[in-house]
Amino acid sequence: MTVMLTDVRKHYGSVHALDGVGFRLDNGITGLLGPNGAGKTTLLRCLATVLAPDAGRIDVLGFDPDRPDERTEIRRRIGYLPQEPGFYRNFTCFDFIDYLAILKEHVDRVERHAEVRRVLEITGLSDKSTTKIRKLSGGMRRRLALAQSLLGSPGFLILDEPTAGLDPELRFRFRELVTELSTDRVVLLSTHQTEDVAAICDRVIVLDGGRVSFDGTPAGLAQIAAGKVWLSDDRPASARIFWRTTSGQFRAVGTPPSGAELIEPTIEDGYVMLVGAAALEEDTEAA
Amino acid sequence: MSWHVDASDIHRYQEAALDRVAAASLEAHLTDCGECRSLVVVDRDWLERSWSTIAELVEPSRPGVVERTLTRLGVPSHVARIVAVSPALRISFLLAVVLVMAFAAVASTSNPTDGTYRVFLIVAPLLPVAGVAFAYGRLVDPAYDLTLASPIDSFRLLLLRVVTVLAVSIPVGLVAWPMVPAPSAFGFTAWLLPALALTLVTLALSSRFEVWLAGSMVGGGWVAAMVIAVAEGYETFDTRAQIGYAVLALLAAVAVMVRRERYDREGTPR
Repeated sequence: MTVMLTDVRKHYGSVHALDGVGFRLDNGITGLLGPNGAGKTTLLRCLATVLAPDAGRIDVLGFDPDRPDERTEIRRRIGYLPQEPGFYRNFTCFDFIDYLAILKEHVDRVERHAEVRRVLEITGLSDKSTTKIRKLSGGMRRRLALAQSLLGSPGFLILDEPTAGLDPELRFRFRELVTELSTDRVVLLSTHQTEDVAAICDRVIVLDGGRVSFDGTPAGLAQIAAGKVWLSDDRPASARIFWRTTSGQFRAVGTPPSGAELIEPTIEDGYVMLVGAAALEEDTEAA
Repeated sequence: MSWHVDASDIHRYQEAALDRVAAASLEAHLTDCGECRSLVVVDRDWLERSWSTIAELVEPSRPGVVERTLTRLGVPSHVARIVAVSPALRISFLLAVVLVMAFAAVASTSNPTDGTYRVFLIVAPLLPVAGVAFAYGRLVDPAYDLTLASPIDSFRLLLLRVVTVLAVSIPVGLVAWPMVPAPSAFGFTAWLLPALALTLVTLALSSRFEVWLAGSMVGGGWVAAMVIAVAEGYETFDTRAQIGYAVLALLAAVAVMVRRERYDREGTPR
């Protein structure tokens, strides 16, 4: 299963949300990183066939979203978790997923209900099936949104900020779940959490200003900051970004002074070197 | 667990030969004792079927009045569910339609000789427009993105919701119309044709703008046009005007059909 993008462009007025994006996705989990306004959500909405790009070509699992009949085929084969999924708050979890299953053409009632139970079970919401959505916590709603994206065992999962607002335990469960799901399907995971990328992604794409600024492995992204991360006892003047660690030392990313105590970089360090410290601060605020 | 159930009791329990008290006691024990539970012979298929039956009774909510009625009328259950979710069937919208129609009818009768019947004729066509404006789109449908990304034909879904809006507002208008002291030459089409025309123009414009914005533009334009026409002394509901509304409705319907792909996703189709 593959997803291909070639020179995809989308602008809103004078803002180029996507400016010639191109890459190919195969089975496995690909992380999509980027600062706010980098074009991640626009890209995901184009892939989910919700938004038409202005130019370029998209091929999702062998189908062209510009052709109405093929667009429908794509929609039958994708699972989409939007950044801010809306809910009918007075619906129960079961009824909400059941309604979305109807929209996904699960017409037979018995089979549809079995499918609803299956995705609620996968996301650990079986015991909440008769609970009204308005009574769910933010984390549970996130799981419910994830549950609907799994209806019909889609070949391509598009997940926009799936771990936003989840507590650490739920994030670990999410990682476990997505890793299991990724064995035979394409998963594109947009996130602000570099830890998620490090933990479960085989590949990472960094989008910045509507363009792909990095496409490689998480280790490759970390290597961008090789020789540029160091520990210092004093406030480092030449650092792009730094913070005091629990040991009292400063951990700095940037141009190290001579004789600095260099340490192994992380994905976050590579990301900072790539998109700049300001973007990271924006992301931290957003997360 | 310091004691266990005798195997013969379990056999009698499965044969339904234990009395009620003994059976209840045994069931309480089985709940806590895995060892005794393992002695109970279980028909896995039966158990699975039973759980499915129970879940089917407990999990899905009972369909509402609209859904049940539609199903009884032969509408497939999944279509009935889609219609029932329509915002036009919320109590708040139904109440608003009834109240506004009643208000317009009463206002129209305040002075039957000076043409106040026009209040009803101007207000009544706006209700389906308002209904359509709140039937679909990012602003009013929390699951809008999820709906667009699903294989259901978005245009068909929009039409289903528009038909629902009309099915709610037109009967209320038909009930209110006899109270309006309009000239005898005016039939109920005096407001029905403008209502259909404005609804279809709203739909046509929503292929370019968000539905709520299209509805606002049509509503605002209609009121402004009517105020000017009344001030200038034009008759806006006579036979000639009705023909005009019918033509407008037809043109808008053609525009909707021609641009139907535009309802299927955001952005300009290529």
